[in-house]
Amino acid sequence: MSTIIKGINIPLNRVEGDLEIYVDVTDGVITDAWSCGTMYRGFEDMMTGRGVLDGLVITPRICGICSLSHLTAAVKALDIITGIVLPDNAIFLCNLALMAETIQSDMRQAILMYMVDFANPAAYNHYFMFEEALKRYEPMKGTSVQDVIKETKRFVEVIAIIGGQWPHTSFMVPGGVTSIPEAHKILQCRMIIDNFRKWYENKVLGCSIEQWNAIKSLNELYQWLEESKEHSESEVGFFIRFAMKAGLDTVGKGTETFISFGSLQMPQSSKVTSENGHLISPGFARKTAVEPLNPGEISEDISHSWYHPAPTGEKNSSQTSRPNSSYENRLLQENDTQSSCQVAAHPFYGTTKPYASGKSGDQYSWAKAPRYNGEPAETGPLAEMIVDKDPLFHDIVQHKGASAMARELARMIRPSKLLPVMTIWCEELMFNRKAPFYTSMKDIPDGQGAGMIQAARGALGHWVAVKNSKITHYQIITPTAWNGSPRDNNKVRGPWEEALIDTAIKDPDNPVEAGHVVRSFDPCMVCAVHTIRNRKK
Amino acid sequence: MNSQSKRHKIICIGNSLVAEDAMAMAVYDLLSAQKLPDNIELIEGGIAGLNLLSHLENAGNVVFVDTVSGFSSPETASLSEKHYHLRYKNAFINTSYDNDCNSSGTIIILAQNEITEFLQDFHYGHNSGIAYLLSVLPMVCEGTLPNTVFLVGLEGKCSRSTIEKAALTTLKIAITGNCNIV
Repeated sequence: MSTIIKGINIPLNRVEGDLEIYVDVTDGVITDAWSCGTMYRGFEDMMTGRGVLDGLVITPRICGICSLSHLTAAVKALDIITGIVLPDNAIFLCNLALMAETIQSDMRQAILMYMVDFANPAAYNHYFMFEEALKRYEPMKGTSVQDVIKETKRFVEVIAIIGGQWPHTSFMVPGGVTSIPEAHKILQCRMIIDNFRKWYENKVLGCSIEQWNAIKSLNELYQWLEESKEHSESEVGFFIRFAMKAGLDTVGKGTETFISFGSLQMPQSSKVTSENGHLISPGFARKTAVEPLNPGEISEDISHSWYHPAPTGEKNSSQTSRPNSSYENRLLQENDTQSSCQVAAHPFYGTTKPYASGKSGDQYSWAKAPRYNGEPAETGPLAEMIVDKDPLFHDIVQHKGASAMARELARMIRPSKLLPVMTIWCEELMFNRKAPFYTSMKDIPDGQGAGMIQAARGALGHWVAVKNSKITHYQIITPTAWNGSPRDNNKVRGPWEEALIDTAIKDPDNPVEAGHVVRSFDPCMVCAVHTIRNRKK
Repeated sequence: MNSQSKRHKIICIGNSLVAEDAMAMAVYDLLSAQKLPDNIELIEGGIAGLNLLSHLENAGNVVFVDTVSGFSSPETASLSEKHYHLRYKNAFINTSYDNDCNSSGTIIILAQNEITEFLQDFHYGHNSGIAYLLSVLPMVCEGTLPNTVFLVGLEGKCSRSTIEKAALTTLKIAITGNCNIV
């Protein structure tokens, strides 16, 4: 006789913001899942009617983790409206700061938030690797825990140097940056990057970045693991061994659709080159079949979210009518009703008007459901690797499928793609220090622009419309909105809802396996109130 | 670096976009409009969590300002009054009233050891706050630890006068390193 447990709440502390996940479990296996954003904050509505530059001050304060990413997206949207060409030095500085934010996030997430669960005694104390996991990852006391905090603490000084202050730097503006650091400060950045790279190669990879990037397939990865103790005992090596023992390479498949907005615009003159103008490529992929990104295919579905639908044909005041996206046309054909378009809208046309009557049956989240051509898509380091056609991750996904392990591995090794470029760009910045860092401009004209970048957790977009120097429209889609999306009009689950399906839970009171799956996406719901609460009884 | 050359830090934590979390940012706004002594550094800490670590290393006196909850009366704390005052011997509880005698916020002061006692979950998360920061600091500090650390907590909807009082209290503690002077 089957044992069915409905509505288990998966505890997800360590998540910024308010997130609840409920699962149904039949005979110890998750058979359904619901991801619920439990709080509405209204940041986008705050923007409408404000001065055009207010987004640069307000949106970075949406989140303390990715404040620079929000600033980058906000500025990029305005740069697109103005059509301005950024000088190379502005591009170097913006990129270096964003890369630093991403890398420190990757390392902290991997060691402090993901691998810490390997030291969960209830789940793993019978593993032969448990004692080592405890030594490395025990909260506060673990050697790797203290190590990564020290190293990332030093590394974020790059952002403070470039931005003039940290946190809440505002050094990016439309047209470029507000200033360029002195030569000795750029040199200091270079030293910080070099020292971090030494630690990363020594402790995290256990080999040089060049050796790691020479691994092109799953078999070569296994060979690398066996090759030397330095490899197998590094953080990456330990992660792979533990994760495979725990079966993390077989859970968390998800939708196997991936989206990357692309990021890190290439300077006009640099030793680093790219075919598509970005270091991190934009694109969409179904498994490993990659196609160019068409931003017009992005929509936000609110059929299962507590929001008022936007009437069809509604346009913001700086817009003229636009043709339906192919997804909206498909909805119309399938349902033959005008009202079908109301539940999904492109972010240039969608609104964020909360509506929760208390009588809604299908709605269960304050998060909307972003879709690409009507499909859910996961975003983050694994998506970047797939869209960038990284041979190792293509081989992993082809042979074993996407998984919690693949996702987290991509996060741990992403710095290996970024650190060498940081060194080159730092040198080029030093060499060109006297060149311009700002292109002067008078006003932001009327128009609309989409600032689409890759934040640490994945695709981040700010869709902005301006008229008479005022913001008339502002929509933001965060990476966690993509990953933690609820169902859509076709009742298709969001990426981590889907990823939870078929995950075996040994102990419903300690569902660590579900935690592994969801944490591989690095959930971050924006944004919680942080207080010291006196709960003593 | 001797203790006299160290800079004292006032770090205001919170989010001015979120009403429940904006009180400390109101204190920040007030202090940033004033000329502060040269050895005082005012920092908009936002919700930066671990990224504030480097501000604590080699600091003199550190005063955090942040929203708190559950402190404003012994009844809320569910402790006997005597126990409460023994428990939080450095706490200074003030409820100021506006002209209509409506409660307009409470200021609580906690010392470092009292702050870290509130850490309930030793796991790091995106939502880790001051208690985590101060608990991990001794293990990862690569310079000298701060001379003193205090938290000026604000509870409830604080009136302008409460914010001003909190700002003054914060400044006094930052300068002297002593909360008993308030």
